[in-house]
Formats: sequence, C-alpha cells, structure tokens
Amino acid sequence: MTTDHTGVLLDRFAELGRSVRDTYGPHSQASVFVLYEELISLRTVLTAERGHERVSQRVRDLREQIARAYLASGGAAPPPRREIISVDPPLLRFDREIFERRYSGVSGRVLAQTIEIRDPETPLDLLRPGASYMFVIDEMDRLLVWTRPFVLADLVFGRNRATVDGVPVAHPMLVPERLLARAAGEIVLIGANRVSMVVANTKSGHFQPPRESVTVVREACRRLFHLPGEDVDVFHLFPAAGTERTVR
Amino acid sequence: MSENLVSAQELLKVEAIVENLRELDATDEGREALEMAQAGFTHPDDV
Repeated sequence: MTTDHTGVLLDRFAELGRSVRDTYGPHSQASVFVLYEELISLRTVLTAERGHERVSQRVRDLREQIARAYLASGGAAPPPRREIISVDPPLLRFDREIFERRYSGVSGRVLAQTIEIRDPETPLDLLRPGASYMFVIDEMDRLLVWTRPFVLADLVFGRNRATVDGVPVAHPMLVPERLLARAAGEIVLIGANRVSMVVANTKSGHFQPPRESVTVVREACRRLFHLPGEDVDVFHLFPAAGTERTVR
Repeated sequence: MSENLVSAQELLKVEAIVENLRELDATDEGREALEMAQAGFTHPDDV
C-alpha cells in the first residue's frame, strides 16, 4: 500500500502550527513564518497536481491568514526614507544621501550578484525553487533579484544579518543608479523546470511599497512567467500611497 | 514527478524547519525573536 505523503504533509504542518502557536503565540513571527513555509510547500505540491482539493483548500486558507498577519504588522514600520514620485503606477525613490552614506561602498558587489529575470525557465538555473530572495521592480518594470537566498535566521532577526563586507544588504542596493522602484520585497519562485507559481511580499522597510505595488508584482508575473492571478500570492504590508504626500 | 513524491520531498523540508526553529529557540535572542508579535515583516533593523 502506498503512503499518502500529501496527507502526512498536511497533518505534519497542522501539528507544527499548533505547537508553534502554543509555544510562541498565534501572532508571533514563528507562527506566521510556519504558515508562510506551509504555503510555499503546498504550492509546490500543487505544481504536480493542480486539482488536489484538500491542498487547494488549505492554500486558500493560508492566503487569508497570512494576508491578515502581514497587514497587522505593517504599522510597525519606521518612518519612510523614500519619496513617492507617483502613485499609480507607483514609483518610489530612496533617499540618495542615506544611500551614499550607508550602502554605496558595497552596492557594486551586490549589483554583481543581482540578475534580471526575463523568462520562466532561466531563473531556476540560478535561483533555488522555494527559497526567499530580495527583489526590486525598477522604473522600467525590470524584475531584479539578488541571488543570495535568505535563511530562517535572516527572516526572523531581520535582513540586517544578510551582509556583504559587514554592510546589511538593502533593496536600494539593487537599483543604485537611480534608486527608483515600483515594487520591492521578497520573492519565492516555485516550479521544477519553469516558474509555475510565485509567492511574494512587499517587505521592504527602505521603499515601503504602497498597495499599488501589489499590482506591479502581479503584472510582472503575468508578463514574465505567463502566470494567472490564482498562481501568484503577493502579501502586502503598507498603507495605500494615496494616504501619503506625493512629490508631484 | 507525482504529487505524492513531491509531498515526500516537502516532508523533509518540514523537518528542516523544525530543526531551524529548535536552533533559534536555543538562545535568548532567538527565542525572543520568534515570540515577536510584529510578524517579523518590518523588523526595525531592516531600515
């Protein structure tokens, strides 16, 4: 008799989720992290069988739970160090003076490790499916990804642990020339031979992307990977750009 | 690859997550970070 590994996987995540909630609390980083990892894992399973009803239902539940957790945590953001150049489509510019002081010294090395994603196949030669990477979509709608994957400690302690020559890597370092972004955050590509699904977020304390950036990410996934909306998750943290002052 | 085989591979990742959590929990700093209620998505040190 064949073991139902998918059933075991769902049960194992349920057990881990309960344990983490009991230990650290339902709103803890640990709890949300486990939900996020479960979503990535179950989406990976769905790439092999899209019609799996129990997995599909759980993915829908996870999307709602994670979306709520993200919105609840966005209010903790520090004051933004970027300007909103335009709202729709969104265009954000990070503070040049801060960039030069903190990041310019090593930004060339980060840029050398950054790739532009142009199609559904090539990125999986360079990036690990299921792993989180830092991304920016620049003013020319290019999807740029820093090729170092993040580990749990980076995500839990903050990405300041992800350094180059002791300098924490930040989203503006992916666009050092103009410091412009339409969207920024973390992205997970899912698929075997081509990108079949995407889980992303707008977690960038430096750019603090507005809600409008979610549409930018979804559009990039449609254009580059030919993915319908149902195969793309984009979790958002920050308020709509319309609630902040714009530059023009 | 079949869905069942993919799930078997994903099960290994769950155990890796458990181990990572255990390692973080072993230090005061790590445990405190795991308990943080801001979901870690706007960590103060990220700016």
